[in-house]
Amino acid sequence: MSSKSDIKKYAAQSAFVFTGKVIKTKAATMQPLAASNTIIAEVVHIINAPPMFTSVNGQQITVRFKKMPSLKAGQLITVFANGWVFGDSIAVDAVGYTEETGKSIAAAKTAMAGKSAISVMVENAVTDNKDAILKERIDSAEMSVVGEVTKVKKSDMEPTHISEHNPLWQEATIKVDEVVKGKKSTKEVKVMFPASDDVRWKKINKYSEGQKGIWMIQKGKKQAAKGIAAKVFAAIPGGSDVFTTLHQSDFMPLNELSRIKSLIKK
Amino acid sequence: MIKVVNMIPQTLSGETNQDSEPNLAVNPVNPLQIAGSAFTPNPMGGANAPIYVSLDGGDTWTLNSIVPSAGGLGTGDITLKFTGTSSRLFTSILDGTTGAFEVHLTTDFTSSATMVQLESRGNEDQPFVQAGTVMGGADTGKDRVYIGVNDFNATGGKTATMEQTLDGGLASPVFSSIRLEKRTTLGQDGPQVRPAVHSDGTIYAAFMRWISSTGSFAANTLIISNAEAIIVRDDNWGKGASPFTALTDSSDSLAGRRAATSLSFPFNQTGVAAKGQERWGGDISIAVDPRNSSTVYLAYSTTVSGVYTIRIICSLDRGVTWSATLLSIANGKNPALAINSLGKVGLLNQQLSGTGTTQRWETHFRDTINGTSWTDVILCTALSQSPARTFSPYMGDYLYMMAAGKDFYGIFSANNLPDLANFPQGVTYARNHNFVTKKLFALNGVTQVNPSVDPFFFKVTQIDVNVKSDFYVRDWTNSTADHDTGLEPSTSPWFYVGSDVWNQRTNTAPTFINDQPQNTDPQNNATNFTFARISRTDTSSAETVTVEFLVAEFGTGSPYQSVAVTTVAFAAGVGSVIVSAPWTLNPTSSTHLCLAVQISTTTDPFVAPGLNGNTPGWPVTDLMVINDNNKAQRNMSVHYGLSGFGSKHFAIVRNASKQGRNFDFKILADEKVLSGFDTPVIQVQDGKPTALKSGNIISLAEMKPGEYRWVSFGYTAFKTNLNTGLPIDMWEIVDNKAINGCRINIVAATSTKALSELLLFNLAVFQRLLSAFKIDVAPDVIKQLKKVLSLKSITNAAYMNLLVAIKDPFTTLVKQWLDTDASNDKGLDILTSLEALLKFIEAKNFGNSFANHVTLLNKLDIAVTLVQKTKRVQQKLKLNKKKKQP
Repeated sequence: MSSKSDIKKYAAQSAFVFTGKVIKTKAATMQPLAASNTIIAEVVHIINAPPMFTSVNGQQITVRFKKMPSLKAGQLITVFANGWVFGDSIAVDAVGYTEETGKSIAAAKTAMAGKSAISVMVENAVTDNKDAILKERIDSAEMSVVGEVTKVKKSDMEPTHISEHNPLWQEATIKVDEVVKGKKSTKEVKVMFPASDDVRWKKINKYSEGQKGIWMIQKGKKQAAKGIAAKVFAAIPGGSDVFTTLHQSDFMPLNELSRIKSLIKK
Repeated sequence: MIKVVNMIPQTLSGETNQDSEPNLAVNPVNPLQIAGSAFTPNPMGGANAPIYVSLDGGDTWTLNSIVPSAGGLGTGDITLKFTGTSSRLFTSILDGTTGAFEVHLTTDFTSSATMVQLESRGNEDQPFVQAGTVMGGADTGKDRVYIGVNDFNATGGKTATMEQTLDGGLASPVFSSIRLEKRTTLGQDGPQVRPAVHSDGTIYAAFMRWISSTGSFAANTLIISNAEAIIVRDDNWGKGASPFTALTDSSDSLAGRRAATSLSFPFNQTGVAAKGQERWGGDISIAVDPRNSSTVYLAYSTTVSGVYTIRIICSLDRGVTWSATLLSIANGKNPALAINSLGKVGLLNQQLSGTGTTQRWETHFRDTINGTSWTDVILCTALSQSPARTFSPYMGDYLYMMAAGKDFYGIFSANNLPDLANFPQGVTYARNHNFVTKKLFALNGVTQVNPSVDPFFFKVTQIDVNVKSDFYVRDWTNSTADHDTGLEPSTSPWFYVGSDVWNQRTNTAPTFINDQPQNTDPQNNATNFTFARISRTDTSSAETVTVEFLVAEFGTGSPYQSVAVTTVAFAAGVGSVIVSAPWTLNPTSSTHLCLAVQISTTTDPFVAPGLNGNTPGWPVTDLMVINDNNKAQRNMSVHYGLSGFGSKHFAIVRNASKQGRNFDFKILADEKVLSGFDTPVIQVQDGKPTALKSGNIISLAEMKPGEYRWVSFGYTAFKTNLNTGLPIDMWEIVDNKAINGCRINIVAATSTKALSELLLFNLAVFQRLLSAFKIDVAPDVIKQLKKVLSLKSITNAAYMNLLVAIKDPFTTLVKQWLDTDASNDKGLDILTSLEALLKFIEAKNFGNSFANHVTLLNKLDIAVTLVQKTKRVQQKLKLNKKKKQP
């Protein structure tokens, strides 16, 4: 049985957490994958998964362990995993697991219909992880403000060459309604963002006039680099007064204000 | 026959990614193994981006996340390519996290092991990888990788660049950067730099030289107002001191031929609705004919009367001159050219049709055999405004198609709406769908999923095996389970050692060991039988195959001549048939020769031109055999000996190079084989015998261009099971790689068989001496040889009696030969062998008489051949001199 700290660690490292029944060891649902460290497991209950995979319940999948644990057919386990191979079946790489000792399958299913202890632990771990990331961005930020975009204009910066992967920097002017962190008298702040819809920049926060929200405004390259793709971080324009919001958590909807304020206090 | 497959696996039925900008690689060693790529994220996140993997020829696909590059939308730009024979897969990418240009390698693309990163450098764009394996000549077996890339690190705006490695088989291949652009630009070239690799070492690259522009990229109004499509070429794998400078432009003598000039086109940063949501700008694609590296096709884009247009042109003289426009496609983009083993040119592209809400994106496949008449089929047609773009590029700045043998394999991205009307050639989906309701469903089969852009695989099969078969002759066989399956090009550079064309002296049922046909050398002035085992990939139809056998009399150096043509009928259900035909070897010819076969049906002809009139050797004729599964070749030399006795055997080497050089060859033999010989030695002309060890490299110093020399293999005795061979291979070595070779196979025979073979060989040698050199005592010996050969079974006593009877005329003949010209001995010391034979005849020693008889005849045979070859060379030189006289 893994400890609570193990479960928290596993949850932070995995995208797919499920409780399943061991069907066969040293086997795989896709034949070429079968090895001494793989098992076939039937998914009994999904605890955490990307939306695309929330309906895997009842399916048999392949689980690969770094080192094969001592498992027997029929045993119930909760697996913390990431994706490996996707074909006519799914194969995942386990980062950890915990045994569901003393539970029958039926009992486990009944328990899962409500909230099992592990479900709660995993959900809490996921939430804690998200909070930790947001807290890092708040801590890294020069200021955190609530406001509205009043103007968007093309940046004066010219690229050194023509490439479909140019960021096409633009400048958003934000009218500040409330300063959550930073100099309280701030009334307006300008933020640079990549306007390009090229595949390289698609997932970076982009703004348009009238947009409202909460910005964790980061100063130049002094901000924490963690969680920002190296290519994006490297492209941050030079200059001491350049502000950006390149991390996904650097812009949050207004309904996250109380959460942000509580994180600031921590 | 065309097959179209949606590549999203069933377990990813819920995905709605924009899987655009696809690329594809087919493993030449096993075309069932195919790798694909697109802007596809790792479905559950993680440090690696996925590639698509198919192990069944593209029918089904899995995602294998092995590319160490995972941005939120997968990796950045990615292309991939297998090498020719090693199943190594290279990817060239822009890293999804760092944005850097990177090169990765895996030796097993189905493995979960992360690909090994070989290169990483910032500030480069749109890497595009091609690769091959050297199949002949110097460096045989080496993997070579060429990556066209737009390198903004280049000075002077000369950004078009080739990254290449000449030994991709190393654990950590070393890449070098070669600047392709030699002229000034507006500050850079276009992002598309496309290599094309030919097996003979010709490497082309095409790129767009940007000269001037108007408008603004940021404002999405940039027009490249003047550009040129530039072609560069290297004739030796990019190996020289000035690679990719073989093709110059007459206007300024700089490397890089202007194939098309005064081009103009937009270069968008993002797509707009009116243009199908896609960004457009400066497409280019190049393909070289695998049959002839002089033939090269180019696709490029330019605006014609305000319409973005793809144009196709070709060159038949290695890029020096270019045709007028062969095909023009208005509103077309993403061209991908490929040429198959038949010389058929394929073109894949996407194009807009219509306007407004009825505007559609069409994906077309076209082909032509003459460049002017093109077929045109639509693989996919779907409304252009749906689904909405989530990022640029919408479908991709490129797609890809390649030829593997006769067939075309390609990939494109398109709207995945499961509407059969959108796929006129049909389509298969693994992801949950309903073609009736035209809806997609999530993994649970219930929840509806919105359409998105998916990658689609397609294959155009040139020979519809449901109607007609693809016939082939195996180039190699290891066992019944491991052999050539008709792949084009062949995956073995040693195609001339164990192919399915062979010779027998009788038209009896052939024998096979490990499924390998057993060859016997032909006999002069007598009927031989050429054999071929013809196979096919499908057995459903009854068909007739025309089979032509050819012989190059003196091996390398003389052209193939047709010796027999026959036909063979295949009944339905029959997969392979052995066919034979009689032929006669010229009395003046050596029995050491090259035998070849080329086969044809009405729907599967051999690739023109045929072998007839072409001389065996690298690269021209060897590539004809390697690239066409309708052709096969065997180089011959088999000797039947008596266990317990030793003799000497010979091979001839020739410096085919136009330059003088040291000629190195390597001896290769299985340790078990070597242990069958007592005191095996190797000796070269003008050299001393040295102990033979497998792996030894022997050098013939300072061979002149076209010069011939002998190499001998001798032993004091050998021992092996009856009818079992002890093969010794000799490979010509250049830069540590075998580029040509032959096999001497010593087969243990019964005395009856060995005597029969020896006397037949004796007959052949003496007939050559009589026919070519008019040695006047030869007829007497020939007469007595024929008398003994007519016996039902030759006994040891009969053989010894014959030797006694012919020893005097034999002696006279040898002396006449040596007296005719002082150089006729060729350093073989023929007289000593004669004296040894006479000594053992006198002593009535059967075994040693046989062994020394073998050695003497081998020496005479090789001496006669060398004299004949020398005379031919001299005659050729005289002819050349005459031609040069005014």
